[in-house]
Amino acid sequence: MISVKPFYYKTLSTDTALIALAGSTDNIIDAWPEIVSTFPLIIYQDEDQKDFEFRDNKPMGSNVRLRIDIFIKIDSGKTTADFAIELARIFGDLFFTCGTNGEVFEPTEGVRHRVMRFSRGLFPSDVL
Amino acid sequence: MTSAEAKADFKRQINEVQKKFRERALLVKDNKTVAVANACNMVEKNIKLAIHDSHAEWEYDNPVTGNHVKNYDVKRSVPGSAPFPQSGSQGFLGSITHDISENNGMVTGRVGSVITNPPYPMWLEDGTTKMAPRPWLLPSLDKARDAIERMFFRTLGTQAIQIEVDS
Repeated sequence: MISVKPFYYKTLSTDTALIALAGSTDNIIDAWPEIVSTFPLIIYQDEDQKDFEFRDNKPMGSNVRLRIDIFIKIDSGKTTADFAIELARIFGDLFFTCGTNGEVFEPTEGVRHRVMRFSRGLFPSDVL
Repeated sequence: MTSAEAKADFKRQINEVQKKFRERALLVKDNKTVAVANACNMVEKNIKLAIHDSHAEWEYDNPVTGNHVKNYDVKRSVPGSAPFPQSGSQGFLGSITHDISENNGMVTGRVGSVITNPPYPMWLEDGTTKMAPRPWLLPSLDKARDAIERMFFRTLGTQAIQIEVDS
């Protein structure tokens, strides 16, 4: 088990290209609000952690899976793909692999929603 | 043994080997379908158990807004957990099923909900602007993934398998 949320937040909030797209670090949050009313919004969640690399019957690290939801307004002049490209670059540089990347049908008019999932085997020393 | 007899004996042996190969091919084909069916059953069972076990009464502090949210009157599930079956087996729970198809030696098993219009199960899985996700498919698949891979390796050896989630 690794505390990865501070690592994710640091990674996302220090990338200037992503912040330029999102407008502010306030638009990058780690939990789902009751109603998504701020746009654009990037929600990152530590979706899964599975033990790996056992030594002396103890896991040395975790296979982590990160879920990122992107919400944008259609009339903002940006697309969810703009965010996806930046996120794929950020996490690709950290050797994460992208497992899911696609827009999902959003019932609210004028809003686009994209879901991305990144995964990687992490050791506690990787997130220091 | 004359050459004619030797030829006949050789032909008989070839026929026997061919028959064995045909039987083995049929067995592998059957094993593949059975293994995929078992895998689908495992995932379907996990989904139904997760939906059954989801709690109907909940309250929590929203970490973003800080609001205290509780809901005892209308039975709803906690964000992040499997959805509560509000209509029982007549609704979402009863719509979970699986099918198996075969095409050119490739066996495909699909597990999911038959409700597509409107796509409520997809909205529950992915979330919307007005509702946090209540994932029911991916956690159930994750739970069964190791067992499925072990089962495929045991029954089919090195046959390639692909497990994926599709909206």
